[in-house]
Amino acid sequence: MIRRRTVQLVSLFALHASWGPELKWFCNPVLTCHSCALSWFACPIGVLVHFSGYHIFPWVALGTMLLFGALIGRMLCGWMCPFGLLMDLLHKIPSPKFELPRWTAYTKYLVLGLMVFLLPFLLGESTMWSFCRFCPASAIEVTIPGLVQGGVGSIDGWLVAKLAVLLAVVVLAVMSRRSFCKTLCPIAALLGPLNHFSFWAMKSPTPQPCPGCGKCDRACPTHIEPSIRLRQGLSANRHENCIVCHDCQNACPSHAPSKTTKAAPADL
Amino acid sequence: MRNSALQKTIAAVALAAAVVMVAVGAAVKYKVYDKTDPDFAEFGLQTFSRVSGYGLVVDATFTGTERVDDKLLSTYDRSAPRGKRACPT
Repeated sequence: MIRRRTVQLVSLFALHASWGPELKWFCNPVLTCHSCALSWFACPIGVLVHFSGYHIFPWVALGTMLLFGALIGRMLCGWMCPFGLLMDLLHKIPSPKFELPRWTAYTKYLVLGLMVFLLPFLLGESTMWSFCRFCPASAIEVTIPGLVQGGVGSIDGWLVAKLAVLLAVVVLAVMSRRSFCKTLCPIAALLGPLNHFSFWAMKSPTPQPCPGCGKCDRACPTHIEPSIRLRQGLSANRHENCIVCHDCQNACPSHAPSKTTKAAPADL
Repeated sequence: MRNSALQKTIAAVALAAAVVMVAVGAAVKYKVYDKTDPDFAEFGLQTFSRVSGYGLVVDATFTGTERVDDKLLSTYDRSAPRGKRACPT
């Protein structure tokens, strides 16, 4: 967990550290707005929205997503995504906690289909009904700094709607783990299905069969019950909502080195 | 935990498809017309640049291209040196 948090924090600063040069031809498959003054890379969702509006097949954006997805599935969601880090930290705020119903996990596919592909295709790349116009990452990285710079005079109805979405996402994240990633993130919708066959397969932390202690289920930040797949002999990350964080592996008593373990007399 | 042969095959096909897509993105060129060309208003001639898929990705990050009447129009002077740009929206 500490290692993952360190990587997330380093990624947060590294991805937003461009002092001038840009590598905007590269679609980095994490949710961070390319309109941020400090960003190095392009957001694949922003690029997909524009290419849908251009009526051009997005070879580069989809190819890059497929490349990362085939290799490591959704690992970047768990280890690199700055918005994922925000979701993780918000959930640590004490509050009533609950799990969203399972069916809500399918809404992200609707968001992807409608607000990233269909509506920009029909209404043009600058439509107010694209995902970018409501993107909470964009609200944090671009809209709020823009408001601070431009003052309240720049507020309009669309901007209020974007900030309202951000507020709802933040409140929901405090109460439900990784709720945005599970229900609304279009990057998760694109990469999630690739988890089922990506080259990255987590090793079982326990000798088969899994004793079923449930510690991995409780450690899972997306509550997708890795123990079910372990008992079936599958890799724990073979689920579209898995963010390949390896927290389940580290929580397993068979895997994690126990600090309280004492050497047996025979070993002395 | 090991991947099954089927999973490895699908992943390999997906990876190969991804490499092809990324390569096609580099190879394919799109006509992007100059919106501000003065010759267009005067003579009806419109000049265009051939922009690669990667070039259009860069344009997408600051709305540097727009689509009007099935044509891609450039919203900025491509001959000028490009500095850091923010999305106008």
